[in-house]
Amino acid sequence: MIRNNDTISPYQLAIIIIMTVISVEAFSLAGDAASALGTDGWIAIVILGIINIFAVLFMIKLNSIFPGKTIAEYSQIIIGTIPGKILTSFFAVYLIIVIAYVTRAFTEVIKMFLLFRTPTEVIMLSLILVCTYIVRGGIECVARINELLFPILFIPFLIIILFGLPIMDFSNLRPVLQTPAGKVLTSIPRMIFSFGGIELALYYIGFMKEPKRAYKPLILSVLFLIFFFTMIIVFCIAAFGAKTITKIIWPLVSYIRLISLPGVFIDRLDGVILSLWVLTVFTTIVSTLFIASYSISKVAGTNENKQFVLPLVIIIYYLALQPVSIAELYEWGSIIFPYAVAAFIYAVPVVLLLIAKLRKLGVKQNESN
Amino acid sequence: MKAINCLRAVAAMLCVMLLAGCWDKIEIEDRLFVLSIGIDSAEEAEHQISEDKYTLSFVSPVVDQIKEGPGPAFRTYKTVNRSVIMSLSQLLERFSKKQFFGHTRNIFFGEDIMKDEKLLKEILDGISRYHEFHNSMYAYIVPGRAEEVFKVKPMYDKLLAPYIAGIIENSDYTSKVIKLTFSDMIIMLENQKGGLVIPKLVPEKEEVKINGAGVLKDYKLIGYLDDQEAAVYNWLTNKAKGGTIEVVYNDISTVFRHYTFIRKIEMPKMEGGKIYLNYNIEAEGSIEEYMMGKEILDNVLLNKISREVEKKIEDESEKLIKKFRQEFKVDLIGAKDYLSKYQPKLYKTIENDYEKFFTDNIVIKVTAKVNIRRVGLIK
Repeated sequence: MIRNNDTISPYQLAIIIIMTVISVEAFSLAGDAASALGTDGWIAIVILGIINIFAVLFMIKLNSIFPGKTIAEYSQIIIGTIPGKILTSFFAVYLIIVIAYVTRAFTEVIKMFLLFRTPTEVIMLSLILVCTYIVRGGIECVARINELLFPILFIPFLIIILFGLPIMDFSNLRPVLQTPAGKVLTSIPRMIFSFGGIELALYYIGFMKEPKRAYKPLILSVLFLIFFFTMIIVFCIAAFGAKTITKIIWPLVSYIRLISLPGVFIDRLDGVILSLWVLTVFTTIVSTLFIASYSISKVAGTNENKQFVLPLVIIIYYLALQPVSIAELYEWGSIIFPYAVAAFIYAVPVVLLLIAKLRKLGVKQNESN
Repeated sequence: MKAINCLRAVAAMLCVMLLAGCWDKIEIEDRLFVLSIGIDSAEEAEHQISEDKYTLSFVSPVVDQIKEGPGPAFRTYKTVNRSVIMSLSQLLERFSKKQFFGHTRNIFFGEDIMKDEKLLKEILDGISRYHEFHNSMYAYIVPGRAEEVFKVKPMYDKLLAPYIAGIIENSDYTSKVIKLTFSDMIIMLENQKGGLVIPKLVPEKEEVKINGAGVLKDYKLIGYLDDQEAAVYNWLTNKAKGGTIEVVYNDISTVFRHYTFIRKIEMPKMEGGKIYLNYNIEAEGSIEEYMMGKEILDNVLLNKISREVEKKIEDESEKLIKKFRQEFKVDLIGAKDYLSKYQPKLYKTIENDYEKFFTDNIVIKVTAKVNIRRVGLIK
């Protein structure tokens, strides 16, 4: 069978979503969770994950009304050409801001631990420019790079992180479930950004042959994310305690710095993990940049999206350099992302689905009529 | 076949990524590895300008002397400055090599630093903020000045830093040595709001000795534990592993060596505003020494000796608990830890006034259970 190079397999879809969601915020996740809920920090992630499984179901439902089409195309059918284009441009702007944020945040981490004397500009440009090369290759390229990097990242990471078991004290996770339910619920909006990225499923399902086959991979990928994030939070709290962890900017990096392998031939593992982590940030940028340029091409009404990629780099680079300090960067992040992510994961799919149902649009309805 | 090729590719890429060293382009010859740091508050006579607060001493190995050189295998030097990081950058003005702190094993705090809350807090912040320090280095308090440690010429070891770190790592075999890494120290200070038990290092002419521990409250040194009390502290905080306990039975001094030592806390009751806590201690091990000509392989005798050891553990523990409650007035023996983790609702009601509660209203009872499993090679 000769595969059309404009489609992705269900397995690739799952990997793309996992690799997009996991990026630089995994470093600070445990601290955010602990400062919101103390020792119960992981509960917020589990609840949020379960909510996101439902969100994903809505997205698949919406996409399966319009098989072979992405949100950039069917939103124009559902709410009309001009509002659809406006929605798509909002999406593109949001994704560009995400890329800029991730690039800058990661550059700060890299400058702190690895490349002290390399100028910020060089780190950023080399990161984004490599991404543009992949993105210009099209969806097949994006899917394959994600598929390729997934085992390279997670196998060593999971092995290394387990060597921290001797420094962990799991009684640090107690008291369990003592936070009042109201506080748990109000803390959830603060954590929404950690799952930011699954909204790209609205696009990527459109590249599949049969949207129906997206249920299993997408639910599995959300489950994987819940597992992964919970593991990070639990390990970090067990290693440091909920009080200390709120004082650390990147608890995951600090945790890895404490690990020493038995029979020490590599002592400092932060360098290894950070160089591996370049890959996950890289895949996040690749899959997001692809969708950003794709959205713009749909707004502009062109068939190809290649020509938009390089000009986008300039905008991303400019935006990434705007925050003066890491404090300002995080402040902007906490202002923009909770609302934007909530809008694109929860509000947009549900509203579009409702309108589509009310207007009785889509392939299925036509067939059954 | 496809899977094997895939694995090969992954393995190759892992090699490339994991084995690539030297990312900052500084050759190993150009680095000066600092193995230990000592921090004191600056004496009047040392001041270069009046704002100087700290004296930092460093020790680095002399690479070409380590193997068979006639000279000393390490070199010490010191700086006087206003802050830790300023002192570190001052070193760059004096040495051709770049100091590297990634392999620092020990950090010594002089007594005077530990007595001054402001000095201690500044220095802890500076060190935990600086990315190059490895947080698994060991921390010690030195009575007198920390720089004294660097004047020691160790008898059996070429290098000073691995020698001292090696003593700390013996804590698996003797409970009298308290093991405290820098990250443990930060975590404990954070959780206990400035309370800390830190091993005391006493420098002598040709060797050093870990002897007891310093006790901090509100970031200030308030007293010392002696050798035996340090062991009891390890028992009570569930940090003890191996170690020996000596009891006198029938005028014969008998040595019990424990391989496991487990402490569990439970709260049997709460009465009249008082909290009753039970520390249940369980130790397992063997008899190592008795008396030539007398048989010890006798169940009744062994049981009696176990009772003796249990009694000793209980007495010593209660003595130390009393010391913490009445002399230091700070709970570093795990009661607060237990209450906050396992009795969160109760703890919330007493959290604000815990210190007073600890000294007045907590009754701690220690119950030990000792199992002698073996008696060595002879009957």
